[in-house]
Amino acid sequence: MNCLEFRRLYLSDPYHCSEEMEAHRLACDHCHRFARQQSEQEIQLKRAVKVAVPEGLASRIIVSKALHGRANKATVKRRPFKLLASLLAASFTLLAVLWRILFIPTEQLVLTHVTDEIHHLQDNFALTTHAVNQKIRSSGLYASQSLGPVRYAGSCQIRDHVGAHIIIPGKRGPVTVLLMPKESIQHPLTVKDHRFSGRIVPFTGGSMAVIGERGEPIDHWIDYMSQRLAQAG
Amino acid sequence: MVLKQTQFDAIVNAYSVDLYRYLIWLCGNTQLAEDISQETFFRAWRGLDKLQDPKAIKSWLFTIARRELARHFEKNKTIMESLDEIHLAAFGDADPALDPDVFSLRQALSRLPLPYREPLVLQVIAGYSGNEIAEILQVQVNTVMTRLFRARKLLAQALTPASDEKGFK
Repeated sequence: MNCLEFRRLYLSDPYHCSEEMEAHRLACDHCHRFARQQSEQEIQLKRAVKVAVPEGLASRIIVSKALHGRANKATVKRRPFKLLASLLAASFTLLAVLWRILFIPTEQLVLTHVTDEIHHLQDNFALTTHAVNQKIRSSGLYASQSLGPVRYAGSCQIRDHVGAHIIIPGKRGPVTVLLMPKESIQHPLTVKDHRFSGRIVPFTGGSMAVIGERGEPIDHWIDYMSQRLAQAG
Repeated sequence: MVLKQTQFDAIVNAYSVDLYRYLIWLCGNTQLAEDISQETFFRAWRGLDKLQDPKAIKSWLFTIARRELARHFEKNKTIMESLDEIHLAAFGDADPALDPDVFSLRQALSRLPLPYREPLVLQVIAGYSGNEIAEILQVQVNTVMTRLFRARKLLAQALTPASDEKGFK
C-alpha cells in the first residue's frame, strides 16, 4: 500500500481501518502524522454534527404514539365514559413517561448513554495514560497505572454529574467503561439488551459500569479497571 | 403488548437523538425533522413484529426516515436534492461565539452538496460502514467511499485558507 492509497482510504473511512492500513500507518511516519491530524479533525466533526436536539423528544414520540394509537382505533359511537377512560389512560401514560424521565434506573441510564454515544465504539485513538488522565480529570478520577491501549476517553454528563467515558479493546469488541462518581448504588447491577451486556458495581463512593458485546468477560475488565483507577486527591 | 411497548420505548430512547440529527442535517428544518422522526417511529411500531433481526433495527429506522422525508418532499413538490445548502440557523446555535471551530465546521458541512453531506452524516453520527451506508442510500459501495472522500476533501478546502493548502505526497 502506498501513501496515496492509504490517505484516500483513510479519508473515506477513518473508523474502519484494515490490517494493511494499520501496517502502513505504523511503518510510515508521514501517514501516521496524517492519520493523527485527521483523528483530531474527526473529533471536531463529531462535535459539529451533534446539533441541539429538542428537549423531551423521545418522551414526546412515546406519548404521541400512545395517543395516535387510540385515535386510529375503529370509530364506534363513544359514550362520555369511554372518552373519559381514554383521557385517563393517556394521562397515566404521560405520568409514567415523566416518572421514568425523572427516576431513570441506573441500568437504563447506562445503556442509553452507551447507545447515544455508540459512534465512540469505532474510535481508535491509542491514547497514552497521560492523555486519558487529562480527558477524565473533571470526573475526579485518574488512572494510577497504564490502562493499555485506550481507544477513547472523555468526560460526560451522566444524570446531573460529570463522569468519565473510556473505551478499551475487549475480547469480543470494544468495552465501554463509565465512571460515575456521584451515581451511588446499593449493590451490583446487571445490564443487558439485544446487543450489549455488562455490570455496574459500586466504585469510590459512586459506581462504575463496564459494558461490552454479549459474551465479553465483564468481570475480568471490572477487576482490571478497579486496580488501575483511583480517586484524585 | 407490554413487551412490545417496552421494546418500542427502548428503541425510541436509543435512536431518536441520532435519527433526529440525521434528519436535521438533511432538511435543515427542526419541525420537519421532529415530524419525520415521529412518523418514522410510528411506522416502526407497526412493523416491529415483523422485524427478524434486532441488530438491523437501526439501519431499518434510518431507511424508513429517509423514505418518509422523500415522501414529504414528493407530496410538497420539492426535490430533496435542492437542499444542497441548509441554513445554519436551523441548529439553534448559529452564534459564532459558541465555539469558532465547531461553528466553522457546521457552516462548511451545511454547504456541502447533499450527495456528499448525507453519507458523511450517516458515517459520523450513526457510525455506519461504507457497506451499510450503501444499503441505506441504495448506491454502490464504491460510490459511497468516493463521496465520503470528496466530502472530507471539500470540508478541508472550505476550512483551510488558500495560502495554507498543501498537496499530498
